[in-house]
Amino acid sequence: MGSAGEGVVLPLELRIEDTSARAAEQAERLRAVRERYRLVEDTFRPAGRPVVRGLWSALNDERPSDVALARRLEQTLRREVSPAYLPLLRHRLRQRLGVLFFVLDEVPKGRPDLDGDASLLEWVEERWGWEKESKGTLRGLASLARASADERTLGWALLSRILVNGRKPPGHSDYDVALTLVRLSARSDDAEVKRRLDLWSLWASEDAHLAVLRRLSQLTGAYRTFLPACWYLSCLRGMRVERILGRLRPLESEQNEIKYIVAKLEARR
Amino acid sequence: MMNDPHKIADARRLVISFLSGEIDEVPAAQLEFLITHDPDFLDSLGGGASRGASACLSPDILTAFAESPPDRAADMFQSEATHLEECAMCRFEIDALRRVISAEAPAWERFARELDQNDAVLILVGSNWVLADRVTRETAGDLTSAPVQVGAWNFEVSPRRSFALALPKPPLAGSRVALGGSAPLFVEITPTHIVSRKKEEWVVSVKLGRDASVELALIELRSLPNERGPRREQVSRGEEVRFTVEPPRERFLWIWVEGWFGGRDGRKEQDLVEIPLLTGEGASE
Repeated sequence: MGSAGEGVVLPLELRIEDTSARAAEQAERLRAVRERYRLVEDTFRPAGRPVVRGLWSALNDERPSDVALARRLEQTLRREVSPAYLPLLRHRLRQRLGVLFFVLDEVPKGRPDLDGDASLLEWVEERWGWEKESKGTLRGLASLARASADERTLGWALLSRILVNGRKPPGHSDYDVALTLVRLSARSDDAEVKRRLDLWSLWASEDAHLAVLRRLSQLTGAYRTFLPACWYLSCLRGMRVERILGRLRPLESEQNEIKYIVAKLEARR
Repeated sequence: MMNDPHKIADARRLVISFLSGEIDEVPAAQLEFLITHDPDFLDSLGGGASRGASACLSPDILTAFAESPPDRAADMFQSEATHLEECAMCRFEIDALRRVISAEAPAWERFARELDQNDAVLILVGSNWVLADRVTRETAGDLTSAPVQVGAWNFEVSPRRSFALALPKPPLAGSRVALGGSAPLFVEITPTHIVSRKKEEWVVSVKLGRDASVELALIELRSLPNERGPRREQVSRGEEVRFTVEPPRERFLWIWVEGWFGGRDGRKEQDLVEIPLLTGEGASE
């Protein structure tokens, strides 16, 4: 009898340990999913973000019909939400989440990744079709993902976007969200977090730094696409331009723009 | 142990709130509870943000399945149909697309009536669909520089048009009969733009129907009726072959078919099937 009793107890103990380990693994996965969503949400226009958030919850929840979801959002947001608008937003949301999936999950597994985001864009086109006006957004998102690929969090990528796009003050809800992402991912003794936040605050508050960012953010094309990632890699992570080019892997024709951005940022570092 | 639906719903709500940024932690006990009692829910989260995203169907395939009835899509995309049986996310997308398609149907009917009333057809010029006179085939004025997409949903300017539906659906898809009815062919032509190579290609898929009398067929795609194509492919009943070609110079494509009755040693017959690249004239069914 005694030995039979021991035989029952041992597997139970193992199962409990296993569930806790899986819970920790799931918690980490959920944190990463949340970060990806939050970075993607920031690429939508401010007016559309509450609707995108509603779609995000619906994708993860009971997935109501677009008509029901539009009605629910109208009640919450107190404004008109057309059901016909939702497939477009949901499509873009999933397309942008897909960009992060490609860079952060597929490329490390060995998927080909040609310069200039050629492989990424082909993958996006194959799966989601082509939408010319999204190219800059997708490449900008990809550049931030590349900048973050070896980091524990996308919070810094989000903070870089917020800084470059002029939504600066601590206490601003976007800043607080990004800060939360960073803190959730940080280890308690992480001095690097404090150093980076201090740097961020410096760039967000000093007139001379702000002037550089303002001038650079008024440029278009590749300048606009790569500016947040360049700031992240150059200012926050202290990388030199060669490493930044190696990390972002732009087209040859875009390298001068990146060199120009980095030179301007380095002059203020 | 009993599965308490209320407890599961509460735990789910916590996870969703966390993903939406409303709370900053999901208690470990709740996660462990879901791992034990509702693991599928946890696996389904993320909307393509992480693992599993590569398995989900692309919008054009989803749109094909959203058409009613979805038989053609099920026939053309058999492995995708299997995926659909298991993926709640894709089924959800299709349901949403169906609602939009049915909402858009009256606009399509209006558009078709306008074409009829104005003796107009849609033709392909390069990769653009443009309006043209039904008889002379001359393109109608300014529309040459403002292409109208066919098989797509943005023929009228509307910023709210669904992008998923605005994607060029396979613009020409339908059945053709070769060899006097012995070789039914399902043909689908999809123009694509290859970003990395900065060029356009057409993917033409030809499938020999399962109910074909011929057991085997050789299929060759021709851009001119008397000009041999670069390759021939053998298909048996129910099999599909794909060709990638430059955008055609003419307003037709031709499929040359050689079929065997009773295997490779049996009787052999040949046929040439013409595919007009025009809508409203039987090419699109």
